[in-house]
This record gives sequence, structure tokens and C-alpha cells, in this order.
Amino acid sequence: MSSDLFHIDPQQLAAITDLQLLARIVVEGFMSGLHASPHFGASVEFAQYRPYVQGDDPRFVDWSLYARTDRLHSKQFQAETNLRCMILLDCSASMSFSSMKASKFDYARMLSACLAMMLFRQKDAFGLLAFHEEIEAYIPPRMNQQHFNHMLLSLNDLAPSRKTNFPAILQKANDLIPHRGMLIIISDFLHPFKDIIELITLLSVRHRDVLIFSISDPMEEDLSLNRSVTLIDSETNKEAYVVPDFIRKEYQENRRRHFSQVREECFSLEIDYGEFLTTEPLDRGLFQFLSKRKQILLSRSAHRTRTGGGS
Amino acid sequence: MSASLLAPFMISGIVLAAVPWLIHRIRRPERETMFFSSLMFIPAAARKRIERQSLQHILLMMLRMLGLILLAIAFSRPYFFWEATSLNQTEGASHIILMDVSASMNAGHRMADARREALAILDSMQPIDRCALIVFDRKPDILVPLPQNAGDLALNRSRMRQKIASLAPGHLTTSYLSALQSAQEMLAADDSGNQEQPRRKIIHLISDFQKTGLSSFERRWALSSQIDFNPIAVGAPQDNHFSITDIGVPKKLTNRFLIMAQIKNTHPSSQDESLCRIRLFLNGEEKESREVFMAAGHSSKTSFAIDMPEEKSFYGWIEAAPDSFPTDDKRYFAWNSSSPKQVWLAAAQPGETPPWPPSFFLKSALQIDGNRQWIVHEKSFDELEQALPGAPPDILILCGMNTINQTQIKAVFNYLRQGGGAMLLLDEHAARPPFSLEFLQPLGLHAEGWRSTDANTPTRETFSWIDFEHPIFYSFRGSEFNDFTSIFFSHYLVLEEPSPQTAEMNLKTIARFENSNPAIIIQKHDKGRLLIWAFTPDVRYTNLPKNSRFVPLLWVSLNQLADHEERQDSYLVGDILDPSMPSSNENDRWLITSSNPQTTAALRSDSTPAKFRRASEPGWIQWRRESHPDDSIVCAVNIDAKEADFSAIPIEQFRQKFAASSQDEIPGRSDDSIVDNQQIIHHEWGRILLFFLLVLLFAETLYSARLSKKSLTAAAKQGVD
Repeated sequence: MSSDLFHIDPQQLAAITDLQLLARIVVEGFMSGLHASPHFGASVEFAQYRPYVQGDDPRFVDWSLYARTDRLHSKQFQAETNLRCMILLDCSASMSFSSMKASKFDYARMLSACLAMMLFRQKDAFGLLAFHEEIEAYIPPRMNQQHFNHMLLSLNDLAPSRKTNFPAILQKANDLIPHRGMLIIISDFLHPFKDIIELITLLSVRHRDVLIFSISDPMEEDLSLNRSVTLIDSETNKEAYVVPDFIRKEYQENRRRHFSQVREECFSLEIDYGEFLTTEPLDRGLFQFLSKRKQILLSRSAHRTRTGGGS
Repeated sequence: MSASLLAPFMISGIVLAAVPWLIHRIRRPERETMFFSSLMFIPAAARKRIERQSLQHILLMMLRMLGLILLAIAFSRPYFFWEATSLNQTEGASHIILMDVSASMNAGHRMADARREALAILDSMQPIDRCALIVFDRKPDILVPLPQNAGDLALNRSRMRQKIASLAPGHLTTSYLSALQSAQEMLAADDSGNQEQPRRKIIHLISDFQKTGLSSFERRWALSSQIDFNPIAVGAPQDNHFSITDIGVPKKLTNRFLIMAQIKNTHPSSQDESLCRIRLFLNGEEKESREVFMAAGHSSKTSFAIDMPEEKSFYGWIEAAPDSFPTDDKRYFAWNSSSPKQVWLAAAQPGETPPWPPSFFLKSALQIDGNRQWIVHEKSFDELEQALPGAPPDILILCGMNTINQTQIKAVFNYLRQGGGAMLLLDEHAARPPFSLEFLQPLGLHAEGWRSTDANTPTRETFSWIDFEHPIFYSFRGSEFNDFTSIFFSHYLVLEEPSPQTAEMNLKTIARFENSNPAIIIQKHDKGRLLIWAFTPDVRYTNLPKNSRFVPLLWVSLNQLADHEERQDSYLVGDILDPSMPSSNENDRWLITSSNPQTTAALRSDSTPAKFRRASEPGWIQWRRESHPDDSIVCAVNIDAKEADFSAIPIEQFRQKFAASSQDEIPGRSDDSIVDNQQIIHHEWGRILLFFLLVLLFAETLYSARLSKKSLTAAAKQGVD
């Protein structure tokens, strides 16, 4: 769990232009607040025993167990199960909306940087796919310092623009991203979800572990405008003159209905789904990620135990 | 059926349609706008309302644009036109055949072609059609009028055929306007048609359509829109070749004449130089010939120098090689000697004058070699007193007033009262009595004195003002001749301006010095005329005698005093002959001969006085006094050189010039349908558009009011704006 002491307002974080510094501040603050070891998931963590077979490294034989049972057993560690994570970042024009200092895209970019920092520290391979109606940037998953720097630079260079074409992008991502691994989709999901549910299902089947972060602006939540205004769709440029007081209720109902559907569909597909406001600290997202990672590793260990195979 | 516009330039008003669009763009509601992430959660009803409003405003804008477009189209006056087929076919049509019989129709087969075309028109007419025949050159002549009764139709046709077959071209110029006006007047006067269902009216104009037949000074005139105009061109432009367009007979020396002619190659196509043989005939005999080379479209002048001793008059012609238009290949000339005028020059006594007295220059100017116009006699003032009452001269010149006495002055006044012409050249003695008192004072003039300036200083005076409208100076009015600044005067007589009270003295100043003193004065004195120069042609006082304008000025002045007019020796066909018989009295009988024996016979049998007879054909005519056969006058008659210019107007251009203009005709009409000269029915439908425009304006007003009302309701409901 995170500590309130290390919660930093994302609106203030947005003022930090150096993503690496920003990520370090957030991740270290987050990590220091965790009750568990900061090396959670490190390679030294014991996972299970298995009967010794010829060829196993004699260093991993548990000699105490041999003394008690007169049978040779080898130790297995979690370090052998490092994962590959791909971050899909929506950089369409709708992500540029902000009623405050940090836009949805700023928030998503900070979250992506923090996730990358965390993955880098845990020796996991990570990659990035930024998209709108086309793929804006693609960095295949790797794990080294140079790669990390490259990714942060790419994140820094991104700017929201153009429309979203979720189905096409998910289709391309399905072909492009290596199988197996963790998939984190960060978007505002302002797209009819029924159009993309099938592709997300496909992705979850192929990659098993999909994490969806939905980013929203507080104004989007409740249409908290106190005056009539002509709204211009940032992606389609369509206009609508609205009197917020008259449509707010209906607007909120429409929005609730949409995201309920997203939530329910994700639940049914066993996809982890998190909704974030741009005013929320990044810790929740990171914690959700760590939980998911732990869950993944545990499930893999269980799988290996059942099958008796090695990594 | 086709459509067109009567005022096509007004269609440019269609750009006004952009105004509603601009207003629509400029006057959009100024609402706060905000880029929002997505409108997918905005209720559909709200969006539809906005879209509907937007569409309504676009519709309103388009309605207004349509209104302005309709307005522009209506003002550009669209009309349909189609061939008229519903005109009265039972009453028949009235045809007028206008046939050109001007001199140019003599060329080639033009007249034969014209006759054939006229007969073809007659053949194509319906039996119930009526027709008239008008021939024209410079004036129209009605040969066959429109028949007034249906029973006359057959006779009408036969007369038409007979007249057409006998038509022959004349020698006069062409004028289309008067011919067409005459034809239109005939059709307008034709009241036999049914007013409710009018006849078709057609004018067939058969001509070679010479450009010279149209005067550029003619006002815009067009045929009535009720008349169908059918111009038919005959003749080809290459009909003509060489023509002699001008001729003149200036006398160069005693008994030596220069006969000058201008020859033009009127061939329209460009080709190499053509050879033309020019022959000179004098008094009926060939004298000389020469060859002239000329390119097409070029003119050339040629001259023959001939000696004609002891001839009082002669005639002749210059002839070019005959071609398809023989009329302009020959041009006649004539020359008549004129009887000289008696001029008495009364000057100061010899010995009192400088080496070159004024009389010397006067005498020299009037006795130029070869001139027979003036016979100068020098007289003393004493001789004048005795001779003037008996046999007065045509002109009396008085020069040097130092010795003239009262009796001589009275003799001069008597001479003037009897109709004589005198010229006074005033010197310094004119300011003294008795001349100033006895001569100038009765005329209303007062000599203030002899003005004397230093001849070597630039104070010498010139004429500061000249009345170039007066006959004496009229011939000097051209820019090449009107510069008199080279003539200066250092001495002259200062004459007092006649006061208004003396206006009845008939004094007229026609030239002044720089200080406004009169320089030349002319006065009518009873029957006579008096010309006063306030200076004398003395080289000590002026350079006038040495100036090139001296002789012309003196001659013109004397001619004016003698009331002499140049005899006209050359006429154009159609002109009134005015031979100005010299010293004729009513008892004299004149024998007429001419180049054409038939013309001679006609002239001899004509009882019309000579001054009312018209020249009818090119040639020469000679009058001889029966009692003195040597006393003769001859004149030449030629066709107008314009008729030799075969440049033709394109027939469409001619039709456009005289056909009724739709733009001129339609506004004055009470209905929208007209029948123009090409038998085309026009129907203007701009008014229908204006009606639609009114409907549209009404709809726009209603729609706009409805939208405003809805907008206000919505605003009130939403509590905004």
C-alpha cells in the first residue's frame, strides 16, 4: 500500500519536464512507502523445490533438506520468471484535453515513464507503442539503460494529435507485439467499446496479461461548466452548443453507461481495469501494476509447479 | 426556342450573392468555444438541435443568395426567342425592293445581278403579297408604289418586272439612310393591312454596300422592329481596278498649264505593281500618254505640262486603261480665262518718295508674270479727279496723301457711292488736313498722329489681333498661315477707335496693333467698299512688302473689294450648273455643246434657266455666245470620286446598323413579346423572375421571423443570451 506522505500531486509533477527525474521521484517515493521489500520480485527470491535431476547446478541443492529426507532437491527462484511488458499509449487529440494544468496525455505519459522506471529497476523488458489513428512510435521490449533512456526520450517527444482508430491499432498491435507478456493500455477510451472488445479479447488470449488504465479529466466526469459554451470535438471538429445545466445529467448518465460497459467487459475477460483522474496521484496506478505483476509471477510459478517444467 | 440576355452586363450583379454568405460568416453567434475531448456523451437531441439550427441558417442564407441571383438575372433581362410562325399568313406581306442605281452599280455585272436578284424576289413572293420598287442613289425615287387594292396585284407585278428590266445605273453617289427612311415611310403609310393582325413588312435592299454610302455624321437610326430587313449584296470587290480620283488645272506660267491627276489602284488584293496607261485628251484630241506603275491600294499623282497659246478656254480629260468600271476611268477638266480687273493706283507725286515707294511694291504685286487678273494703271490725283466720273475702275488704290485736295476727295467719295471699291494706304500725311478732316472725319475716324518708333529696337509692333473669320483673313486661318508675327511695323497712323455712337458708319476693324490701335478697317460706304490700312507698304516703316504674306493679303483684299468670286469650272454629277456668263445681258444667246450629243440636244431643248440645270452625266459642257463665238465658257462634270471606292460594308454589319435594336425597342413596348426585323419573336421573362423574387422575399421574411422566434424561445428557455 502507498503512504500518504509520498503522494505527489500530478499537476505539480507536470511541471517537471525531465521524465527520468520525474519517474525516479515518483517510483522511489512509491517504493519507499511500500511495506514489502523494494526487491520484491528480485531474482534471489525463493519460489519452490523440485527433485534434483542430473545436470542441475549443485549450488542450488538444498543440503539441509537432503539431511532431513535423504533426497536431493534443487531450489528454484523467481528470478527465472522476469516478464516482458508493452505499454500502449493513446496519443490522440482527445488526450490533450485538460481542465487543469496537466492534460490527460501528460498524466498518461508520466504514468508510462514511472511504469518504465519500475520495470527497468525490476530487470523486466519493456517497450512502447504510441498510437492515434496510426502508430506514432513503436519501441520493442528490451531491458537496458540505453533502451530506458530511448523510451523516455520518445515519450518526451510525443504530442497528442489526430483521431483515434482503436480497432485498427489493436489489430496492428496484435501482429506487432511479441506473444506472451504483459500489455498495459493507457487511453481515455472515448470510443465505443463494443467495437474493440473483440480485439482486446484476442490480445488478452495471446498475451494473457492485459492491464487497462483509463484516464479522465475531472471536467469530463461531471461536465462541470457553469456557462453555455460551444464544444468542439477535438478529434472530429464537430461543434455542439451546450447549456451544461440542462444536459449534465444526461451526459453523466451516458458516460457512466459507457465506462460501466468497459468495466464489465474487462471483468468478464479477467482484464485488470483501472480508472484514473488526472488529479489522482500516480501511486495507485503503480500499485495496481505491481499487484498485477505479482499475480502474474505467482500464476507462472503455479503453472510450472503443475507442469513440472523449468523456465 | 433559345434564350439570351438583353443586358448581359447586369449579370455581373450575381456577385452580390456573396453578400449573404459573407454576412453569414461574419455574423455567426459569438459564443465561447471550447475544445472538448469528445462529444460522444453529449445528448444526441442537443446536437441535433444545433445541427438543425445550423442547417436552417444555411437554408436562410441560400434563400437570400437565390433572391439576389434572381434579382441579377431579372435585371439582365432574359428573354426567349423563336422564329415567328404565327404572323398573318392570310393577308400576305408587303415587300419593298430598294435598288441601288448609284454610279458604282455601273461596275461589272452589278446592275445585271441586282436585276436578277430583284426578279428572284418577285418570283418568291406569294400571290397575295404586295410589292413596291424604289431606286436610290443619293436620293430615293419611287418607281412602283404599293398597290392599294387587291385587284391591282397582277398589274403591280407586271409593272415591277417591266421597271426592273429597264433599270440602269446613274452617275450619282449613294445614300442608304434616305432610301431606307423612304421605304419605311412607305410601309408606315401603307394602311391596307389589318391593324389587329398586321402584315409582314419586308424591305429588300439590293446594293453593292459601298462604305461611302454611309455618312459617319448620320445620327443613329434604325428600322422599325415591325420591318423585316433583307439586305442582298451584289458585285465583287475586285470589280474595279484603276480610277482617276482627282484632277486639277493650275496655271504655272503665261500660256503654260499643269494638268495634274490622281490615279488610284483600287484592287483589294495585294499584288505586284500594275501598269496603267494614262492618256491626256485636250479639246477632244489625244495629246500625251504615259505609263504609271502602282501597287494595289496605292495612289499616284501624275501631271502633264501643256502650252495653250491664245486660248480663252479649253477642256479635256485624262483617261486610264478601261476596266470593269469605265465611269471612273475618265475624268474631265476645264479651264476658263477670267476678264481682268482694272486697278487704278493713285500714288504720291514722283520725287517726293523714297527709292522704292509703296506704289512700286503695289504695282509689282499686282503685275506678277502671267497674271491676267489685275490691270494696273498708275494715276495722279489730278488725273483721278477728271477720270473717275467718266470710266471708273474696278478698284482704286490711294497711296500717299500729301497732295490730295478736297475736290479729289469728293471725287473718291462719289466713286464709292456709285459702288466702287477703294483701298486707302495711310501714311504720315494722312494725319494732316485736308485729308484728316475731309476724308477720315466723315468716315467717323480720327487720326491722332503718326506713331513712330525706333526701327532698330525691339519695340516694333506686330498685329496683336486678327479677325480670321472675316473673308479677307479667312483663307489665312489655317495653322500654317495664321502666323503674322514676322510682319512688324515701326511707323503707322494712330487712328481713334470709332465710338459706339458712330456704329452706323459700318466701320469694322479686322486687325489691330499691339496697343489695340486699329490696323486694318473695312467700311461699307453706300454701294461701295472702303478698305483702310493704317500703314503704308513702305519698307522704311514695315517689312510687309518683303514678307511672303504681302501678295496674298493684297490680292484677297482687292478681291474682297471687287466682290470677285472664283468661277467654278468643275462640277459633280447632280450639281446645279452655274457657268457665270461674263458680261452677259438678257439679249445674249448662248449655244450649248457637250461631250454627249444627246445631252447637247437635251440642254438645248431645255427651257429651264441655265442656273437651274443640273449636271446629269460626266463630260464637258461649253457655252458660246452666238454673237461672239470666241467668247465661251466650258465646264467639266465628273462623278464623285467616292463612288470609285468599292470598299464594302460586311452585310451583317450593315444589318446590325440599321436593324431594329432589341435593346432600343423593348423598353418602350407595353407587352413582353415583340417581333423584330428578323421575324424573331422575343419574349422577355425577367418580370416573371421578379414575381418569383417577390414570393421568395415573402417566404424569406416568414422563415426568418420563425427562426428568430424559435431562437428567442430557446434562449428564454435556456436562460441564456
